[in-house]
This record gives sequence, structure tokens and C-alpha cells, in this order.
Amino acid sequence: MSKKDCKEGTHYIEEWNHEPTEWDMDYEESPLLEFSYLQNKKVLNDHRPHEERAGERAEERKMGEQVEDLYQAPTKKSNFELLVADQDGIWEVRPKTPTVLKTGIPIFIGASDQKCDRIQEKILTYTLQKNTKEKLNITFLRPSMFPGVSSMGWGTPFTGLRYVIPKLMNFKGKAIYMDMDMINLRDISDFYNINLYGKPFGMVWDSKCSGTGSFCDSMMLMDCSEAKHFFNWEEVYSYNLDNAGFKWKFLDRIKKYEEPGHPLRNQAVIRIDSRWNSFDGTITDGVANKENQLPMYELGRIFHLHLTALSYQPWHSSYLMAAKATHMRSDISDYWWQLVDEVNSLEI
Amino acid sequence: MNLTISTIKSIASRNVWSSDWTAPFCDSILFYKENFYNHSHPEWRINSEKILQELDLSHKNPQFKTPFKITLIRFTQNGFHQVMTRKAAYVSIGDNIALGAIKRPADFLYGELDKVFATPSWTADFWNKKQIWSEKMKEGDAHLVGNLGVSCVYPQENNMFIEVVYK
Repeated sequence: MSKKDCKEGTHYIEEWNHEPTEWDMDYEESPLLEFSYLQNKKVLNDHRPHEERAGERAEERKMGEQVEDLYQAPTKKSNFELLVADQDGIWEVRPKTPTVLKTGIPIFIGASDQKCDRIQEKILTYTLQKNTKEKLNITFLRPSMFPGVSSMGWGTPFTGLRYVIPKLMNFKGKAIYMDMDMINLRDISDFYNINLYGKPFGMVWDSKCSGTGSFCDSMMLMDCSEAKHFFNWEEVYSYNLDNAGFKWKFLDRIKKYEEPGHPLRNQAVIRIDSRWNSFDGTITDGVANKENQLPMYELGRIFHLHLTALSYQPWHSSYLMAAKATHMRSDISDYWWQLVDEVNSLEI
Repeated sequence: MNLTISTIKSIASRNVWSSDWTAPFCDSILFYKENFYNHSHPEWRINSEKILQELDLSHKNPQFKTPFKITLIRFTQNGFHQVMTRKAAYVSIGDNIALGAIKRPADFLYGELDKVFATPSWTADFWNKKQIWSEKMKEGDAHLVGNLGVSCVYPQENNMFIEVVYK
């Protein structure tokens, strides 16, 4: 698509016409059997009449039942995974054996060109490698790689660089984007193997974003063949000359695919377990209390930690004007410093 | 001052640097800002109360009792320490930090401190005219400066000093 074609801001949305696959039909058109989230567990909600499901429960739904889950390999074929039911009858997903890619799992990390960020970049890379046996194909996206791009209105030097990923992937396959201010605590191949069910994006719901909540693209699984219908690099490259922050434009486009009255149900986004993008230890998609504070995860339960509050970051980038403040979670900052020592000890 | 210096040196050895507007282009680490910030390293958290007690220098001057900002600054090739009027203690880490102070507007100090050390007779020749007080500090030295325009200068990269600003 040429730059000329995208003068109208909504051009991509109108063009995006995803044809439902067999998987979509199964997933979207079974109102009585649907997936949802309860705390940290993915739950199969069975709304069918009791008499209809009673026999099935007794005969078929028992420990070890095979049910489709979010952690499937990226295939359109039927792919099942063992689930385990706890005493309450809640069916929890277990990660499937990771997909093996010859080229490695493509991971793009938004980063700056500043030396003060290097230690954090090392920590993220180190933890990603430490927690997986899969081959990783990590690319740092730095502003210096894209001379001339307008970064006006970006919150960080790399905010808009994530939108180049489909082009770098030649609009094929899945890819992971993450900010550099993160710590990985669980095999990233589990994230990569989340089934997008034909949708372009997988993201965590941020219940505090913009006051009403929004999907958050700071940790994102994307299908590069589908994502191109929502943005292209030519548009982003000069977007901010006249407007501030393409990120918000992108999120606006996604919002158009919300189910009315159900913002969490989006035709363009698969909602991902919030442990994959925990903002400073919080349950990102949790319900805020009266003080507008989100509940917390224990550090050991987090899959991927996002040190997103710029003031709280244990390191302080010179390009950020945010005032420094002590992190509210000493266990998180202690762990970060432990990783600093581990990373430094590996350097020759 | 031993605990302060050893703790700050230990944390600095982790090589996690930031920047501070008081020392443009220098590397720096903010350790403490009253009511707002304490450094997140566990070693600082454990020792911070004792360090604040150690930095109570009221026995030297009653006005230097309560620190409100503690910063470590490391010189880089292009870095400099802004001349400002401060009530502060400067602790040298490494030798040959040049501490200068002036009663006149602070920017008078710019360009003059180097001459103090480059020209041995400068102090005798110009002291009465320019009224620049200067001191060449050694490792661990702590100097109090108040009500003067003050700056630290060090011509070599990687040398450091601790700036403790008092209420």
C-alpha cells in the first residue's frame, strides 16, 4: 500500500476484511461455550442448560480432557492441549510444547540509543534467554536505525518504532514486540504460541488506560500478515509531523472492532493473560480500588514484568524528564539489582 | 564519612548511571531526595539512615545538619558541574577534584578555575581582584560551602564526587 493510499486515517480499517476461518467459527459462534478469564486462570464457561451438559460432564469432561486453548501452535488445524480441572471445576490452560522455528522466535524490542539504557537492555535479553530453550531472533529497534522519522509526541524515543515490524517481517508470520523496560520471568515461547484465532493482535487489557481501559501495545503478539491492515511504516514515518502520537491513532482503530458494550471483546485483538504485561507488579487488567490502585501480583506469579512507570524505574534514562521516585515494590527493585549483578558477572 | 563513601562506591560499581541537570553531560546517580526518593539498591536501603546521620555535619557548622539531596557525579569528557549558589558538602572520590567558590554571580567562576591550577601564581596575583576561593581535594575530603557560587571541576574523565545539598 502506498503512502498516497493512506491519506484518510480510517482507510486501513475499511480495508481490513478478515475472512473467518474454521477456528473463528468455532470460537466466535459458540455463545454457550466461551472462554473468559477469572483472576489468573483462563476458564471455559459453559452456559448450556444443565441437563444438556450433565451427561457430557460425567462421560467426557474429566481430568485430562482435551480442549482448545490459547497456547496452541499457530496452525489452522485442530490442536488440543491437556487441561487440568481443580476442585472447583475450573479448567486451567497448560502451555503447549513450544513451536520450534528454525530462524528463532522473532522478538522486536523498542529501545533508545542512550548508553544509560544498556544495562536494562542486557537484563531483558538475559532474562529472555535464561527462561527459554528456544532459539530467539532478537532485534532492537532504535531511533538511529530510522533516520528522519518524526518522533514528535512519542512518550519514549522508541514509541512509534513498533509499527515497522510487519514490514521488517515482510508481512509474514507472527512476531513479538516488547518495550525495553521489561523483565522476562517465563518462557517467551509460551507467549509466542498463543493462538490469535486469526486476529491480528494479542495484547493485555490495561484497565486504567485513558480512564476506561484499553488494550496495551507495549507487549504485543502480532500476525504480520493481518497487522498491515491497521498501520504501515510509511504512514507512521511522517504521521507525527502533523499529529501527536500514532500510538493513539492505532488504539482508536482497534477500538472500532469492539463489541458494543463489551470492550474486552474485540474482533481485532485476542486478550492475553495480564501476567504477560504486569505493570510494575500490578494486575494490569484488574479492578482498581477507591484510591485508583490496582491489585498486585506476587513477583513469583508474573510472567513478564513491565517497569512502565518512568519515575519508578531503578535506572533513569537521561532523555526522560520524569522525576525520580522510589519504586513501590522493594521486592521488584531488589530483583532488578540482583539481575544487574548477574548480568555484570557474565561480562568479560 | 566511611559508610557513605563505601556504600556509594559499591552501588556505583554496578555501573548503572543516569544524569542530573546540575552536571550536564556527566554521569550521575541520585541517591536521596528528601520525601521523594531513595535509591532502590538494597545496600542503600539498609544503610540510608546511618548515612544520613553520618552526613549530619552540624558539628562542623550548625547549618549543615539535614541533607535533602545526595548525588554522585562522574565526569565525562564533555561534562561539567553547573556553577550555582548552594549550601552543600562536597566529598571527593579520587584525588584532584578542584572545588571553587565565588561571592560574585556564579557564572564568574566559569573559565577561572582552570587558571587557578594552571598558573601557580594565580591565587597570589588575582585573589584580591577576583575573590575566587579554591581547594584541591583529596580522596575522602569533605568541604562545606554555603552562600557562594560553587562548582567542582576535574579535568580527567571518570573521577567522581558526592554532592550533598543541605536544607
